[in-house]
Amino acid sequence: MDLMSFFANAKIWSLVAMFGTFSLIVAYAMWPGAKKGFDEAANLPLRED
Amino acid sequence: MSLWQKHAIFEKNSIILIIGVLIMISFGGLIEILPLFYLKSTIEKVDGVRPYTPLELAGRNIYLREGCYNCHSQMIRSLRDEVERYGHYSLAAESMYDHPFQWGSKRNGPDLARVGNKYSDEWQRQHLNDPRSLVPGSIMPGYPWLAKTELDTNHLDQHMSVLALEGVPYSADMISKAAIDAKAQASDEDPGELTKRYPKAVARNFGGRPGVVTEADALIAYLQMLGTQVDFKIYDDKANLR
Amino acid sequence: MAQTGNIPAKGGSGAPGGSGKSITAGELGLGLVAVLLAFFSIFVASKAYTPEYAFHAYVFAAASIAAVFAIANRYMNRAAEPAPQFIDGKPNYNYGPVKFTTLISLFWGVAGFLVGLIIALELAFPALNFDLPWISFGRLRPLHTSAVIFAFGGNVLLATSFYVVQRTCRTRLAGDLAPWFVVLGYNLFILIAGTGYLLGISQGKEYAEPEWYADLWLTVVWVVYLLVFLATIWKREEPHIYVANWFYIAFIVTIAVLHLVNNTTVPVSIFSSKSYIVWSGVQDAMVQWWYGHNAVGFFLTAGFLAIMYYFVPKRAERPVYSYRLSIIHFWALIFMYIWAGPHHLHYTALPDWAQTLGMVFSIMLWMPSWGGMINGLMTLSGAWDKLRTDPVLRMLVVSVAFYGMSTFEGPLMSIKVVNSLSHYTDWTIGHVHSGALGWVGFVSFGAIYCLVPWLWNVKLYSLKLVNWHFWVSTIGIVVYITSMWVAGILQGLMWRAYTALGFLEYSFIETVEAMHPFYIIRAIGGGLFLVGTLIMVWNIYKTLASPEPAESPLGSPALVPAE
Repeated sequence: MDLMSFFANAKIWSLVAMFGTFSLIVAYAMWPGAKKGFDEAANLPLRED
Repeated sequence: MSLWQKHAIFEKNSIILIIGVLIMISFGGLIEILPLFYLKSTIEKVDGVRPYTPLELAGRNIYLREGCYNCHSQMIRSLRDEVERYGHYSLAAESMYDHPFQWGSKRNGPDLARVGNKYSDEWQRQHLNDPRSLVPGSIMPGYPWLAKTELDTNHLDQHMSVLALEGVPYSADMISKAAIDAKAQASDEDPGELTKRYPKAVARNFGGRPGVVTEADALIAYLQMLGTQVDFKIYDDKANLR
Repeated sequence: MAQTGNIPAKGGSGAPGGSGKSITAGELGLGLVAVLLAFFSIFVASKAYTPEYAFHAYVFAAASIAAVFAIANRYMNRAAEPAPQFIDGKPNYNYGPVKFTTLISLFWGVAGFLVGLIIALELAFPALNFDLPWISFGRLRPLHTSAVIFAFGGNVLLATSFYVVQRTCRTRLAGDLAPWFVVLGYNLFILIAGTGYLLGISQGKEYAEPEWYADLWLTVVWVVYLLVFLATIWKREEPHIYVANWFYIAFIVTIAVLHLVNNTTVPVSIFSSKSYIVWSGVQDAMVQWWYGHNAVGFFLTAGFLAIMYYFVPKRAERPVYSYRLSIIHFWALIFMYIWAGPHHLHYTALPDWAQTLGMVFSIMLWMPSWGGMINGLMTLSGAWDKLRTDPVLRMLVVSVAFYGMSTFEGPLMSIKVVNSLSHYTDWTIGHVHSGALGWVGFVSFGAIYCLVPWLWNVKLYSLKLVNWHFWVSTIGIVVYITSMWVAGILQGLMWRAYTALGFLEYSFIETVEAMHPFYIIRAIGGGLFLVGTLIMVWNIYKTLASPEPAESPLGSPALVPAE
């Protein structure tokens, strides 16, 4: 496969690449164990000193 | 501090974050930019395209200085109405010596990619001097100072050495004769070796003030060559299919 | 000179007992660099090819000399010990640079909006160019774009980032002189860039007009900015890095990468202001719009989203709607934005596959953008009543709504067939301004209205004036963008209109003449936006000139900060 056809198929593989990346991001964000840390972080701006 | 050990780990986290950001932004940039340096359609050479003469280069720098690109594009899109209005759609090769490119993004005025030879020098002079004297509805500013300012040709050779360094095929001969060529091209007299160095370069008094090389000379010389290099009667656009 | 052996480590506790102050390594080093830069600048000025470049060299020299005096003066007046990290167990926040950038952003905002109004009037009435080089449209337009994006927006980002990173890390800003170097150095860059445009010094690349020496200076400032920001995060007292700081980091790092690649240039000489970009033609076009679109994505979006993620929750007094969504928002946004550049080059000599990639990713970008918008808006759930009583919060929320609107319009315009109509017309200008005025402008104003009372520990002079600002500016924005929609679509249709006989129906100049009424309406809209801003400046002036101590602890710091 030459460079030209590689880029001609950009629509297909970029979609696959993006879906893969997106899945990783969602898995990271939705990981059940992460909730406590996220809640703590979310309240950071509201704490006064 | 009791938190210190924890910190050491999180300290690394911000670095990991930066690395993640860099990876994410590298993808798109590399995939879209790198191939353009290798693909045939973006690096092909087309007959007739030559580097700018010193006078045209100086004119181009005035075009940049005055911010002409804010209102004029130099990129005819492959759309029916554009091709009918402005001429053959622009080829990548036609701007291959443009450091930087001037395709533009807004048309407060018309596209200039093929404005060369569309109007006479005298029209261009008067239009630059007072646009509304020729085109009553025009919203272009006047540029009367161009014809009044003498062109600075002192360091043109240095400009061309830099461009040669960046891949524009300027020979040592072209560079050393920069100032001479600039003056020769702006005069009605025999331009000497100018056309030997720059095929089909046109020499004449563009600016209308005999004996003085003005900024108007340079800018009009640049405008009059825009889009005139490729002969589309013999250009084979099928060879450029992408 | 001071004995180097006695120099206490920067930020360290210093010698006990305080047997007299010793100059720090930072003061000595920066002072020496400034002295060298002053001499070097004067040398360059003496040999400069053009008077314009000599002027800039003298500006650098003057700034360097001023820096030497400032450092010496500061040394004379400061206490022997470095500023304490904590006072009574509470972080001793460094608000000096934040206050400076907050106030100077007001100045640049007014200046940038005013120049915008002037060039809008120049398009409607070209006689206003007066045939003078330094106020002709081509030179003023870069001044407008740089002043609003980099001067106004940039200073707002500096102010808020230095504030948010301290507050969410619960630690004093890292560095002693470094934060001041960043904010003053950045504004020196603005001064050099802006005066350069007026004098005709321009690289000729949109939104990257400053020449090589200004770019080089910005690079130095930007690296120090990143280091100050990171060092503050490294010494934080909180286990977590709040998501707003993620956005700030992405903004700082990506802008650095974009700036370096797009401005890779070779100067003609060290004595010449002129340089030539190493890229050319189609490659330069791709690099430029990769830069240009991501200046929007990472400067005007990521940076200001950081503001949203701190100031909306803080002002609404409730945590962000979904922290998980904010993480998805972050990664998806930075991954997709970077691809979107080619939609500025549809139907050009750029290869088709690149245009398609740009289009596909631009459309996809709609999703993370709206994810962020929903996250910002839903933060208000259960507190919508505050919108009625708090015009500052209303400003922040409407900015998020404008963000949603322009991030819907953007993907639409990136579709090739739509773009064939909209490109090169005023539709693009309208789109940019719905984002710039509505989103960036309003979120900045909201942040400034929050910051001033918090920083100075005073009560805002008048909420009623905030309300006036809100309505006058909102009407201005609506007038602006609707006039540009009509103008752009009309002009696009006129360009492609054919007669029954198959000829182009309109000459180019006829399409220009058709724009005249819309250009006047647009100038009115822009004028209203400027009036709104002036109301804000008056409000802030009154707040600081006749301060009333803050009564309610709505986010006001409990202790008076040392600077």
